[in-house]
Amino acid sequence: MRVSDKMNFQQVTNSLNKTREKMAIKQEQATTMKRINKPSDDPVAATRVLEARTNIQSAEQYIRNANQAKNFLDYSERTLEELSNVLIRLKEVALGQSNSGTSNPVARRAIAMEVEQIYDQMNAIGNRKIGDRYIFGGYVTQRSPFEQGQYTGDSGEMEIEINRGVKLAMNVPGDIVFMGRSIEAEKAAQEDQDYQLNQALRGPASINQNTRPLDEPGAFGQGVDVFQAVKRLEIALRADDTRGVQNSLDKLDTAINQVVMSRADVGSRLNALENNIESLQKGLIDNKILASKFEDADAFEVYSELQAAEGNLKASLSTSGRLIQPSLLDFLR
Amino acid sequence: MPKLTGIMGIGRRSLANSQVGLQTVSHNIANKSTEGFSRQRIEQATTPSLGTGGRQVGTGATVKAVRSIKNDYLEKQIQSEMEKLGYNEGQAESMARVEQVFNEQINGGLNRFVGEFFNAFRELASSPESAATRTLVKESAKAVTRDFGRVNSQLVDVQKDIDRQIESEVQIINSYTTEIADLNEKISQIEIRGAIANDSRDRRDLLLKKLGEKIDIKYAENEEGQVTVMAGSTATLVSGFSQNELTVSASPGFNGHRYGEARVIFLPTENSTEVDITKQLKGGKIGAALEVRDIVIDGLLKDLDEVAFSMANEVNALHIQGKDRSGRDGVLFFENFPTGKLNSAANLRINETIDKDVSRIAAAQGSFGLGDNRVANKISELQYSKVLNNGTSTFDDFYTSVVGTVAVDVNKVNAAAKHQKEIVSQLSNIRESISGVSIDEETTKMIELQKSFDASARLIRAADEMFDTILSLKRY
Repeated sequence: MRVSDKMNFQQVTNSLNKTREKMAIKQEQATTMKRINKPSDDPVAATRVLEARTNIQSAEQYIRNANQAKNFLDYSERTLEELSNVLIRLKEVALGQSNSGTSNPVARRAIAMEVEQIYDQMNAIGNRKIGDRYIFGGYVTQRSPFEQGQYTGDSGEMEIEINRGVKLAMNVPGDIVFMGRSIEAEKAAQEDQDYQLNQALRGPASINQNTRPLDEPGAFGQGVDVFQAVKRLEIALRADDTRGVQNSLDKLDTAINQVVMSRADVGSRLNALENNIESLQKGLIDNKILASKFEDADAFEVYSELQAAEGNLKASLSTSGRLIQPSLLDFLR
Repeated sequence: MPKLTGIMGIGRRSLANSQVGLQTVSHNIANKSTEGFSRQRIEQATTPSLGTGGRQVGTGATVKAVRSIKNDYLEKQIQSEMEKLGYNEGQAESMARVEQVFNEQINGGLNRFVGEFFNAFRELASSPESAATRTLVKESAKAVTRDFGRVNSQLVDVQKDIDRQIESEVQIINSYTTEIADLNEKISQIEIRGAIANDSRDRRDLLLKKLGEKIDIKYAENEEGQVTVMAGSTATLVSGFSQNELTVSASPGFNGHRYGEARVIFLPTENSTEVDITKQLKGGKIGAALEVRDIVIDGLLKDLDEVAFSMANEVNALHIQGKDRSGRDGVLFFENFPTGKLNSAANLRINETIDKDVSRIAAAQGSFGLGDNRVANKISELQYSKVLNNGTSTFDDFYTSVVGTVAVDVNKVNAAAKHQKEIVSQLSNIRESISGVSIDEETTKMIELQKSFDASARLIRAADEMFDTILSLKRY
């Protein structure tokens, strides 16, 4: 093949350009320590990195939310424990006064004073705050939910997103703990209503519906107004009404049960939260590893490649120098 | 009967031939680096010999022609490959800028801001009473609107730059076509006398290549050596000695576009009607720029509008049902779009009422308790609800797929440009192998011609001495 001068020069320019370009890419990777510096460097990996980053961002928020809910529930749990302790103490006190033989009216009146104090203490427990939020008010968090045994909050459950599509209530509304509103009972009542409606619509032929039979009223038990129970106990003690005291004791049992149930509910939510936070943290790390695997440059690889590119550049510079230099003119005198 | 004057004549012609040869050599050397130049060689032939008696005596040599050494078919092939190269490189250039708009590898972009926006609502859901989280929601919403605006305006900036690019390319095209028409004239003037217009042809071939890099052309040469150049399918840019200009006009709102975009207009003659040939241009740098501007970026802007529009509407629909911190009915979270879906990314704004008073942000569904976070929850859940593409993708899916498509496109056009560059460089290597100037070769040629010049001079001197010898005969 005939080789003209321009071919030489073009070849030199081309190869120098190529090696310089390769070197620039490696240099960029070495300075940023990233394998992908723009999406087109690796489109598939770039989109995966984007997804991973969104997941990381969400997970961090979910963890924040979950920790917040945990705080709230932890405090609720401690408060409920306190409440149940108070109620148990009350029961012990009342138990000694239920029998006319073991006590006398004067002592009962003295005890009534203590019960009144406990009543106030319960009121204070019902109005506990975490930060500036009342924990037992439902959605009503900025106003004390209990005033003289009256509940002024609502049944709102503050659900909070703790994972993609997973929500968890971080509060226990006071009407469940103190007023005995039972979600199960409400549900059952709703089912009864639906059942009756079904019966009316379909007639007796569809009697084999897979719904709860009607003959179990209050299968889930009716709740009790804790304040009322305590108030009655106090009145009974003051009135020296041993029967009233005994009646109150039954109510008190139900009340203790009610609080313990709420506590168990909070406990199971806390458990779920722990598990959730753990899996979020694991997912967070997984996603960080994934993103890093896709976008981060392997330092050793990059530096050795950079060195190789540098070597290439030097080699092509020195060959270029030799290629351009000689011509016939150099040998003519 | 040979004559001394004959020898003198051969010597004289030979001197002249060597000089022509040397001049050609020097022309070659001088144009060694001239773009598009093809080396030239003299075509030397014997002059008719004289027949005296039974012998034919040679009468020396003459230069028949000076000819370029080139392969016309190869030139044509390079021209068409360079047109493709212009197209591929044009695409790669513009797409690289488009990609930069969506580059979130180093800095955060829309993806991050949208995520932060929804996270702010999650934060609000976890403490709906707080004024601080409401401020966070407002700030993150503003960041989203700003970034939608940024992406939108950066894309539009690329479009505007493409407009300017087209304008300057068209000017260059006009200067090329003017020169081609001039060269047509020169070539036919020279060649009508039987000579070959080597340099003008080289120049014209080069201009056709350069023209093809800018715009897709078709061209053909007629018998008089003039080329006719057509751009697109209807615009005759050069015909014979005459050239027609292309102009660029910006027609605002043309074809439902967002603002004045440059159109390429062909003006056949001074007083005829203008023809818009924008749609015909599919090749060269201009074809690529038009494609990126009218198809790629336009599509991206529409996608962006889709996301902004849906996001605003979905958030608004939920927010307006909510109750704010004082139990008032929810207002729009984002302002309504004055122009509907079109331009919604540019027009995305947070409602002024909310901007002025963050307590108007509605987290609650009922108007009773401040701890009510149901609407905040619903809004944050939008991030992962499939509200786009007829309910098949989430905001993240949609945006990620937009970025992915851009990335794949850029990757593809870069590879194509690289490949095409290889092809062109291969072909021009072959061209240089045939037509390129080699200094070694020219030096050899120079020495050869110099030697023959010397020899011719010696010949004349010999003849002169012979004359002297003959003349001296008479003195005795």
